[in-house]
Amino acid sequence: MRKFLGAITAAAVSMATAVMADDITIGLSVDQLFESRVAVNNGIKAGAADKGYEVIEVVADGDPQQQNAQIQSLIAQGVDAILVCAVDQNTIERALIAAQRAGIPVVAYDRDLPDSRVVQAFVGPDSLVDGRLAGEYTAKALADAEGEIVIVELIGALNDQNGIDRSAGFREGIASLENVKLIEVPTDWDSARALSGTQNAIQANPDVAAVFAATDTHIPAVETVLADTGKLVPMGEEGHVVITGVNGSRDGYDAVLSGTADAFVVMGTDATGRTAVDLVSRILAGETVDRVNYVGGDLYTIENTEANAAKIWGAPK
Amino acid sequence: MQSATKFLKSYPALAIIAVLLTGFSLLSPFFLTIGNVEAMLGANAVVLIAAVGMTVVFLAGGIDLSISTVISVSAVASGLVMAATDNVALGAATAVIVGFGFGALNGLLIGYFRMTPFITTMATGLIARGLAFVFSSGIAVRGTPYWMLDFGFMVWFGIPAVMVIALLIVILSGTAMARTTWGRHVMLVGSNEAAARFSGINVPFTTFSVYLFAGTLGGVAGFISIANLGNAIPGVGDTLLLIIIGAVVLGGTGMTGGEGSVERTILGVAILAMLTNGLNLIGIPFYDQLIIQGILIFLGTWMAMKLGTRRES
Amino acid sequence: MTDNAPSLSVRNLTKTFGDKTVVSDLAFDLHPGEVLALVGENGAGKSTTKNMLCGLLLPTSGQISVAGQPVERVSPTGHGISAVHQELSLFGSLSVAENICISDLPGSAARVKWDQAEQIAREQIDFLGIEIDPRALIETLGAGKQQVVEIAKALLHADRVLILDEPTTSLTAVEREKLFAIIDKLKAGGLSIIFISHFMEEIYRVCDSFVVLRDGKQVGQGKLADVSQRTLEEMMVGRTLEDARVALGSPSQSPALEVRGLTSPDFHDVNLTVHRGEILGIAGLMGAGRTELAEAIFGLRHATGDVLIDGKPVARNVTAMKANGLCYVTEDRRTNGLFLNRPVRENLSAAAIAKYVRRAMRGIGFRGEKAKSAEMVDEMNIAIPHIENHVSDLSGGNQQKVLLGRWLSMEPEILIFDEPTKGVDIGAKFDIHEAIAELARSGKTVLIVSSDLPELLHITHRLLVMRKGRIVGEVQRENYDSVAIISMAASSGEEVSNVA
Repeated sequence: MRKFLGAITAAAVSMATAVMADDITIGLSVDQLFESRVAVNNGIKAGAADKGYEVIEVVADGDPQQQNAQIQSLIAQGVDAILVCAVDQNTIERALIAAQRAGIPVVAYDRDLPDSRVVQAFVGPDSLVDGRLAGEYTAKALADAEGEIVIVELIGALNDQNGIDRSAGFREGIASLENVKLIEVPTDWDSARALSGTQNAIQANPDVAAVFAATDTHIPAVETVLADTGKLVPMGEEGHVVITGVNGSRDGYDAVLSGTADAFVVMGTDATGRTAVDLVSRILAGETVDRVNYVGGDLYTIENTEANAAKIWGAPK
Repeated sequence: MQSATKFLKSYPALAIIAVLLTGFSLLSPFFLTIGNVEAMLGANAVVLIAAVGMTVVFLAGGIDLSISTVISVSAVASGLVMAATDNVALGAATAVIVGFGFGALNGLLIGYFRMTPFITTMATGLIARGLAFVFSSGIAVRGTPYWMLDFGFMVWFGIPAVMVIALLIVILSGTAMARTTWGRHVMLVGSNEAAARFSGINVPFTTFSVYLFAGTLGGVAGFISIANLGNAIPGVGDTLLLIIIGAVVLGGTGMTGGEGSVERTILGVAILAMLTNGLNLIGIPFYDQLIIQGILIFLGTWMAMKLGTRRES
Repeated sequence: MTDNAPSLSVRNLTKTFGDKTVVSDLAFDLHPGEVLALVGENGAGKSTTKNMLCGLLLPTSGQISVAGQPVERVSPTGHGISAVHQELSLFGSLSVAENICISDLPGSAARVKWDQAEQIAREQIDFLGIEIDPRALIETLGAGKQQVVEIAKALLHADRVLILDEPTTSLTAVEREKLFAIIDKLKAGGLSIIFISHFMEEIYRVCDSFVVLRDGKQVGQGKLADVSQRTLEEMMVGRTLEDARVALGSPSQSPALEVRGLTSPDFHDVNLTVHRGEILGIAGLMGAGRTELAEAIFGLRHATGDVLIDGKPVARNVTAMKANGLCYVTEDRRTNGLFLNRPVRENLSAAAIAKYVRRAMRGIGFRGEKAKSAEMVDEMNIAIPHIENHVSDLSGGNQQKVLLGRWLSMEPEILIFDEPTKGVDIGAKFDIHEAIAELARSGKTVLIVSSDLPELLHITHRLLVMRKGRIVGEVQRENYDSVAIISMAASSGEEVSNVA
């Protein structure tokens, strides 16, 4: 028991001295933890380690008041900068103002806070680029196709910037194709809705040529529907449906490796995290930085997926 | 010394506070810094105000499960009014009126139509939550007047202004409970409703009044939440209900009615406030905090029970 | 172990809670087939003794021997001693068989053998000679049959000693006789019984010997045949009882309280008049509608008809009745009388706060409340260390005095008492009767509802008899005849209640 207390005290003291020394400490306030967020956080931690920064991470579990309290406690601990992914827009403005008053710069990541009077910079995925990469791949694969080309697009949430941008990017990417019939399937990021929507779309358009999933976690649903209708043909064979998606999850990874899906665009989670730390260090050095910073993803096919597994956040570790 | 022991026996929450205070100030050098204490005080004004309302309902032998989402809906209504008019006074009045309305609805159903508090307030709580999200389309209301943000940072007599308001509410409510016939009737109805009726106390009105009181304080808390968070958030109350109930119970007010006091609730709020703040400071993750909070509520209740039986024998 | 060793033997039995000694130095023997009366006033230590004997409490010191063998701690199932407590401990929504076998269901936990449980229950009930269906739900049975089920349940584990704590309080006269027959039968079978009761007639009817407790001490014991009821009561109270006759005074002819055509689902077309200075009693069986009538007059129940005070109709709600000087002292002080977890002070002032406080502004401030309630405590002779003590800390008699004090402090003109001496001991009963008589002598008007006929005969000027919600007779004091009144209260062929 005594040993245990001793250890706690020692840890606290060492933490305290670490914070009070001249070293730079970043307070990391996270809305909640899920796989892709953890991947970005890991990028932040890796970037900070490279620069010799300390990171204090707090997780609000989706509760705005908890996040406010946690930012307050970061301020109380005298961190040098705060990286924040807000639970929701406009829910933590007061705490951020408190940080500003204490002279602590704030950088938002993953979720922008466009209305905030405090946030100095934002870094996040460039969903437009991600969508365009998938679109360009689809256009190239179907370049020789004749007649009307039916493409099913599984759209994310229509009130979500990521979903809107991925869709817009995809359409830019397929602009070179002519005579395209685009079938929209709204999913609200929900797998069950993706499944039923795809079923309806393919029943109505059996001659589908390509499917784009705004999140690759919906690719298994697409595969199920295609298999049920006898259209799940491996790449390179007659009647193959071109499947692409954006994200970088295990679902996309497996689908591409199995040869049924063509390609997936992996968000640059690691790069996002490192860029966030970069922005902090430049702000602390007194440099001016851009308000909005995007990090585009990379497209992987069966040829280069396995080789780049380390860069794909959803890949098995 | 003996009177100190006796004091501690009637307020077991004080022992917990002492332990937390000592523990956290040893574990984190930031715990007792002025900035942190101010942040702690400011952040818990909403909970304290709502917990006062809940305490009075508990004392009358009832429960108000809607108080947390009444905070949300009055915050949203107030935020929308302020965004449209830029008038803070109008916003405050809106919050109070919305809270008052929900309190009156609860009071009417429970006091006069004799419906069960648990089900009734659960239902009105759902309605309040739904309205909060419908009014705001589910996102935080923008356009809060700058004055509200400044108000959130104001410090009066070394205490954040929002907490000063909360403490004034505690003092006024405590005085009303101890010094007015209304407060006495609340205690007696909570102690034994049938006996109150047989004594000629207006039980329906007394019951009505406590829910009205709690609802109104929910409205006030909703308004204060805007100053605290910078914007009116539709989900602001969603996670508060258990914190409010926990604070009341840890303070020493039972759910059976007629026992406890409004002042005690300060202690319960202080315990949970210090706990959240301290655990955040020493970097304990969110879910581990929940476990510790649960254990503490269990411990506090057990201590109160233990000390209570000792008094009887 | 010898055959004539006592079933139960107690020596130096003592129980203390903290520094308070509740029972000290008990010593008595109980032989097979003997029925022992354990008597004493409320708070004398009867319940504590009972709880030590059946294993609910561990004695602080002393010796309990069962069949000659010293016992460390009486086990609820292992020593053949079981108690039927005053508050019935049955589960209303379970069947008779389930209740009887609850502590030891046959079969395994996963698969109870219900047919076997039913068989056990049937045997137990048959043995007691009462017709009860083992499959009936407890809540469908009357109080008498529930009591029988309790006894059947206790007898499953009691082959030596059965303790009965106030077993007759909720029984009708016929049910009581059946109970006594059961006791006789058990006694003949060699079971020893400890019988705790307030009712002297019952004690003399069923018991052989007695132990008297007063303030936790054993102040007397012996054969009942050797002592008179009077002597026994004096032992309990610790003083010579004065002549219990109370002076009633003479009522005036001016009506104070009039009830005209009061009707509700519980009673029909009730008309009555009580005069100033008069004590009017309402007798009747349980379920005759007496309590319902009293509550309706006070405005606690919905009814049609009129209530007049001093000739003027008064709205039938509690506020108006109080404003016109009428009060109602409930029969059930724990359920709807007292605020148990609140101080004596608040309990006293609950009905008439204006008589306790001096206020500059309406509804605000309690100045004077402490002094006035302390005064009231003295006046009512309530035994408590402090007015801030919770009422739950008080004995039954003192609780009843607090309730009385609450209403007397309203300075009422008309008082309705419902079972004013239920569950209080002899000394307190005497005090309460005297207090009621004094109220009438000083010109107050009193209406008493009671199932205790001797009490009504003792302290009323006039009696109304209720049967099934109707007033069926009126008797003047000079014509009081308990047999006639009972036959009036019970219609032909109906059970005669414990008004006897």
